[in-house]
Amino acid sequence: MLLSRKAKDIIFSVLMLAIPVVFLFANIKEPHRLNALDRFVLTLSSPIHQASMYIYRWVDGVWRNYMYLVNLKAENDRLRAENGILKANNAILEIWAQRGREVEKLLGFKEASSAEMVAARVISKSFSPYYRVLRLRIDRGIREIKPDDPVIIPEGVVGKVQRVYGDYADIQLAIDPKVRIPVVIKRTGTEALLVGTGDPRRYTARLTYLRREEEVQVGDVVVTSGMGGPTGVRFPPDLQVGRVVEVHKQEFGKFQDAVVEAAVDFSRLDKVLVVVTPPPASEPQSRQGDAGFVREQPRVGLRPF
Amino acid sequence: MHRATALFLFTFGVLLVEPLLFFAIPFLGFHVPELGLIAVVYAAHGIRGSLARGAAASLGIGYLVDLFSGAPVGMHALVYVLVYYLVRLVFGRIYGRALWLQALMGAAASGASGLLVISIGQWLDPVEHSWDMLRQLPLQMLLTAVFSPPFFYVLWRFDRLVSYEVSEEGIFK
Repeated sequence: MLLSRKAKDIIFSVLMLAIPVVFLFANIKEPHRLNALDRFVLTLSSPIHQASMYIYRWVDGVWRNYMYLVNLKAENDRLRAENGILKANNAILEIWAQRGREVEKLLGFKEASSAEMVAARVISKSFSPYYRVLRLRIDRGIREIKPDDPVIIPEGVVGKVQRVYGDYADIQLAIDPKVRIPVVIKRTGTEALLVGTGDPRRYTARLTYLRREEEVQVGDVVVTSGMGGPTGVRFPPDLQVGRVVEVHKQEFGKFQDAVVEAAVDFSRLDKVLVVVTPPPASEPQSRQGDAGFVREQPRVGLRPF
Repeated sequence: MHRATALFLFTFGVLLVEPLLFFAIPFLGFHVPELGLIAVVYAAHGIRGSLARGAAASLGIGYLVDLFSGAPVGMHALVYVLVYYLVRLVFGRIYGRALWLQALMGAAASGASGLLVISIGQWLDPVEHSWDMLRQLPLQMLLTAVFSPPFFYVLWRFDRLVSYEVSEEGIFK
């Protein structure tokens, strides 16, 4: 080697200092004052400059997109949380609105009726192994209601008060075999006695003492007659009890059987009305069936008082 | 790959993400630690070896700083080469890996670099480059001093990946 390492270092160092100086002068000069060397330097550096800036912009773009996505995710999470809260609030408001409508309906029904009633809240329900309601408990006690008081809602008959203790009372449903309610088939005015079947799978009752010659059809609406039953329970008249779903006409005997499905969905009950004083006895007398049938004297059930 | 070349490429990557990283730190404001300059100090004191290769790496890093910062092309390239030689000259005989030494070298390099940049700028365009910029220098030096030890460590970790020589010589030996 002709040159020592030290000499090479010195030459290289001078070169390393000269290159940036040349670049600097080429870059700060006015375009019309550029000489051939400046133009050569600029031509040489231009692709490097462009490539570097391209990479820089690409990285910048990736970073900005990433930041945008991070922000977007955060915003998305925030909106999801907000949406969840709003949905929960909306569900609560729906429940309150529904309760309000129910109370309004109950109140309207109570005001329209001549019977004296007490509104009560359902506080517990007993279920059958098939998830059918067997019994209800309400928040009214011995000071307001008494055993055998009819329990109703605007949609129909619920049952009767079975036991009262302290501030609570148990309700025996209309589908219980121990409950008997004098009823009328609305279409024909035919009277019968409704007895619960106690079927744990369905909310059904049976029409008994239904004379064989009476015409009963599936779909017939059954309403309360307003008469006092064998157990002394007297429901307000014209309250829907249910619809006939089966008719069993016998070839012999005096009576036929029909199965009635309850009009009330007991599983959705949360408010009921307890009739503490039944309506005056004259009310049912003027009632007519759908077909213009004028009811005769009741054949089943006891005359009120 | 040679250590100086690897250092240049690594610093290129760091310079690409540097403004994006420090953009996320609001309290720094206008000031950012000069990571390119710290890399030059590392080339001068951490790698040592060939003077030419270290100077070439410094030239390249300075050139990139010019491109990304919008300064006249060649200004930082010239300053970084000068700083490289200065660090070799002043700290060349000092061996050690103390954090204060790394911080001191970073601060000194930052001060020298700032002074040179302002001087060259003043010489090129006295209107645009004012001596008032010297008032920013202490804060800039402090920031670079603070960031020097951790960035030295990052560079050393990278250096160790690309060369077995790193454990044998240099600041972390």
